[in-house]
Amino acid sequence: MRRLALGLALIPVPGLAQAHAFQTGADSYALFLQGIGAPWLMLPVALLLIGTGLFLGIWRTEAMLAFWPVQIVVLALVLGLGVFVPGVPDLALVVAALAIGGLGILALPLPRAAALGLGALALLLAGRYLLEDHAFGELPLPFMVGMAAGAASLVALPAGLVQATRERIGHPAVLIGWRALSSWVGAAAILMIAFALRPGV
Amino acid sequence: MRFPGLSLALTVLLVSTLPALAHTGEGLTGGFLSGVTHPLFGPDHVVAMIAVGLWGAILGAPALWVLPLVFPLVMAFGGALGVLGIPVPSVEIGIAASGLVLGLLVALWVRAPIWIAAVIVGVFAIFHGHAHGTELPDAANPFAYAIGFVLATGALHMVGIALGALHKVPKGDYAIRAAGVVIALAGGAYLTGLA
Repeated sequence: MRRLALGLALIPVPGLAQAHAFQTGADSYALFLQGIGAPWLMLPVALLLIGTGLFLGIWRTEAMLAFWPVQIVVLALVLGLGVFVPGVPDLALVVAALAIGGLGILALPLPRAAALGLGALALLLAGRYLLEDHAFGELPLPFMVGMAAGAASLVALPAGLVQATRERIGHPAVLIGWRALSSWVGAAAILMIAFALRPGV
Repeated sequence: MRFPGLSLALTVLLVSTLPALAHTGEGLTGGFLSGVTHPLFGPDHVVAMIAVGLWGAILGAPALWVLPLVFPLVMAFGGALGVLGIPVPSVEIGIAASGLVLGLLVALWVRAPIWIAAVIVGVFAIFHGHAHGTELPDAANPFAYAIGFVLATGALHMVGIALGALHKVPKGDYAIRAAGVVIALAGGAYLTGLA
């Protein structure tokens, strides 16, 4: 009976499961994963980049083909050297998200250079914001690579979804639906701007 | 004691419990959930937002998509006014009137020009947004709150649009008109203080 009691007593007092508790700096892969999560969890960044992806997908179905090289260069540049330029406040990102959401709603037939340039500008802002106040070389390389992958995925996923649905379904309502979603990015950005400007915050 | 082992195990169970932290409302998840639930817990808001979707479905394309596009955007603007403490007159009357007017527009199958529909919906959206803005809880993460709030609002419009698809089935128009009557009655009840 005593053994049974001890056995039962052991069951409810386990320690915390550590199988998936990534220790900061434990290994490169953990850092890479943490880096991917950073842009997804920084909501002003996520909103801006999702809005950018929608904007690009609405602009042209094959937009990401043209934007991938731009995206890689811009992310390498801003994550590598961004610490040497002044930081970006929350407000700048959400204002940019509002602007890019507005462009997504309007679906203007912009010239290629303008559309890709706007996408690059959004990535520059987001990349600089992601670096926060860190000094040059302070963030480990796997973490930086993860951040670049996370930021790129935030643009590529919505753009890819827009492209896939436009090509496979083809109905004009699909594009209007994505434009409506773009307006939701703008709506969320308007509220975020109010929160950022709220007295006492 | 007849069951010492069982007693010991139960005692250990009791002392080894941890506080439940699932709904503390903190962080990204808490802020997001708070934003999602806020528009859903006000029946006067819910009926108006569904009415917008229904009316869009009655008007057909492009209003079907334009109205749900206008409403969250203008509502966010109204919400921003509320967050910043900028007053808007007669907000509660405006919200109640929105249910009555939009319900009647649906019940009477009014096919207004797109720009008139957008203006009507936009004006009411400011009242709804302002009310939400001034009643905002101190969400742990206001940015997550904003995203949840807009998604829930848009989802309610989608419910209205989905219900509006009933007009494609036989006698579905009657169901839509009946929904309009219910919404108008609810709006009238809010307006006269009966609800």
